[in-house]
Amino acid sequence: MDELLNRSWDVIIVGAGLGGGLCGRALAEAGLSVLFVEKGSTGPRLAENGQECGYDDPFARQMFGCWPVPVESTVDGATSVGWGAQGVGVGGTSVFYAAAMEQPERHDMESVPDLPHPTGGWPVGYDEFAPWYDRARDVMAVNGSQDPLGEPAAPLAAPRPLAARDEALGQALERAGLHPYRAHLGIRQLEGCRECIGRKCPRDCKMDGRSAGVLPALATGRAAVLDGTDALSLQGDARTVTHLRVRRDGVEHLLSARAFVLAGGSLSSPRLLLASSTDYWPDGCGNSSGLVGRGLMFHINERIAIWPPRNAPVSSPGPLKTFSLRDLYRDGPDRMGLFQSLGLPADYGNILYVLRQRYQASPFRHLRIGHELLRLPALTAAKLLGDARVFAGIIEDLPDEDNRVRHDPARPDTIIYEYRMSEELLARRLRFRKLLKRRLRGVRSLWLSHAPELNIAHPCGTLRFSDDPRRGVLDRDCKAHDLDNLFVADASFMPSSTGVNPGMTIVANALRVADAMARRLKAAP
Amino acid sequence: MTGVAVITGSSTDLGHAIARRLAAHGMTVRGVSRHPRPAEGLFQTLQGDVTDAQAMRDLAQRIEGELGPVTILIHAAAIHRRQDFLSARAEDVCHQVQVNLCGRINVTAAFLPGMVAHGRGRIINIARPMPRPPLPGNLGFAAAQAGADILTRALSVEVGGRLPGIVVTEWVPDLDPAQGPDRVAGLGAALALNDDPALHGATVLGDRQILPGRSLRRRVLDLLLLKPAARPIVLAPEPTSLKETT
Repeated sequence: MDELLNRSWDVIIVGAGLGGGLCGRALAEAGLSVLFVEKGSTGPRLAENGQECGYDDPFARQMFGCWPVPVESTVDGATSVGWGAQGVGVGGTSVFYAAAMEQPERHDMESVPDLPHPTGGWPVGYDEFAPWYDRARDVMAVNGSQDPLGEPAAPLAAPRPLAARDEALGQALERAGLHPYRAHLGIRQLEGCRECIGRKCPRDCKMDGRSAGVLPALATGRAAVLDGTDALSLQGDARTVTHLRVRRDGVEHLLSARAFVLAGGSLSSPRLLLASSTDYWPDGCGNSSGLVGRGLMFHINERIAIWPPRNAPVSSPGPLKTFSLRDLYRDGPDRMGLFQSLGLPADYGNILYVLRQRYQASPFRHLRIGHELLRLPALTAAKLLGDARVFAGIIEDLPDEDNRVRHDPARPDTIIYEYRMSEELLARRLRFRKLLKRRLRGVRSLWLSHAPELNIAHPCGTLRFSDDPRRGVLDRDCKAHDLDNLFVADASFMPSSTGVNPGMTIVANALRVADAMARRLKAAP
Repeated sequence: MTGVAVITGSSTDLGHAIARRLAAHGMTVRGVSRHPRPAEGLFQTLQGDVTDAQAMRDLAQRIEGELGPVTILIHAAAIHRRQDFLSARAEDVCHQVQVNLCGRINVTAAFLPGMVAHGRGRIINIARPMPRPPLPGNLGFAAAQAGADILTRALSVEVGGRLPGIVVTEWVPDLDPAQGPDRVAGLGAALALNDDPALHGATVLGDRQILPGRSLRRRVLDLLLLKPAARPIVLAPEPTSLKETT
């Protein structure tokens, strides 16, 4: 342990999740020494729990890989405190993710002839990013089929065959004029794969920050994990970060490296910068633009249950997360997003879970009996819904500088954010619902969401990259404009949220950042 | 079923009988005892004191090295000495806690890492029925027993949820001679060989799982809410007939 704390590393990465894990793996494979500093514990490799650990106790939560303390969010002016979707430990939140590995479209990153980009375009455009997406699909062992409406994606492993009932559902969607394709998933389909959607995968099937990042990095012999360690602040001088101040087992240490990577996620990386205010950096590290923490985006979710045709075969074993569709991805000037299978059957347990979540958010939540009484409507709904499949549409969110992450020095562990749904987003959401309703004509379906629902598992944009140091915290290589050796490898860099799940973009960018870093670090030994 | 089973207290009558049952069933069995009985063909006993944490770690390393991962761990080691606390030496009272409670912690800590590494394991804590309040003269034994009881619950929440392949159960055998020691040992073996996840964190009294009590209100409510009534798991003695195999 002292060896980890006292030596000087080529690179220290704060956060061993999807971005940090993949970035660290690429750096270690390039021959550099890498230390992952991770808040959570390593935990048993064969754990298979989901994110609902059932405990409020911070220590117990960390044992399950859940963020220990509640998140304080102020959404549309109303402040609430509740459990977030963030994970801790090796693999971070990604050990719980649904393995969606979908590539954004050209208009997500740059202006196209009939659709200007709201930010003027990312500093790195679609074509420059493309090889990194290919690399990401390879590293994440992505399987799926080609989107008939999009550009061909490679490489792509063949997906497992569908159960007959889902096959029939796909045909019904096609008859309705839609273009379903097999969802792109970062799952190696090893013998006996249980498709660990929403829970930790005990094997090397699901590719996440741990299985595709940290573990292969450790296998090089050049990387190590310092787990159970809180990153407190960065220290340095005008242009250089020299140390990361951490606390482990109640004792503070200063860790040193040639370069530092922030990969704690969009709700945490900006907080570390804001916590690092020194004489050189009075407003926080890397914050001369004043944009650190600003521009927070999520997606809006629309959940809907869809039935296969009445004459479809009954359910049989097969893949759960089946189709993605891009028919609604863009509608004229409207940026919408991916419509995809959630990988959940609309069965009793899942319906009860959704009802209980809503109940928890209602003013009646202290009445325990209501919690129990929800079994009745859940049972009724399960009978009604039969063997429906749950799908979700995501609607792209666009940056607003008033939507932001805050750092409270009195509660450095607490994720705090403020977010307002813009009028424009709400209006676009209504158009999305109308459009979806129209396109699903002839398919049996039932809306499961009514009020606009933030996808709190998709935060991004809080340290966006831009060629202009006044308009972004990071440069095109995701290096802080203000500093020579500080990089970012999580979703914070994204200037806009795109119409797809962020995982693929996090991986592609982490590999791209690692490449730029390795070239610099090797050029100047 | 094949695999490796480890039984502490394998020189006690019950521990010995369960070890023979499991061995006859095809398990590779290693007993642990301070004073091993003379060797017999069905299983081997290794000398070891459960109060010595390092010795238990060494033992686990040796067994796993020779035989591979241990899938079943049965805690049968226990001592019971009646002592009038008014005249007892504190050291003697604490010794019962050392053996009956700390011994289980030592042995569990030694073998659990192997189970965690393979995601599978079966742990049986053998307990005695303990009246509340205890009979006089049982202070050390009762305190250790209460601790061992909580140990089962605490261990089950340590592994439960994360590693569902590791199943921890408390077993209170009915030691009434009228039960027939052979049948009791058969139940112990049957319980060890049953890795039904419903047995995780459960207490089995004799041959029957004890379900947590429900108030009348709770029962009416569950009925109204169509909550399926839980059914206790009932064991059948492991059928292998064991006359004199040695």
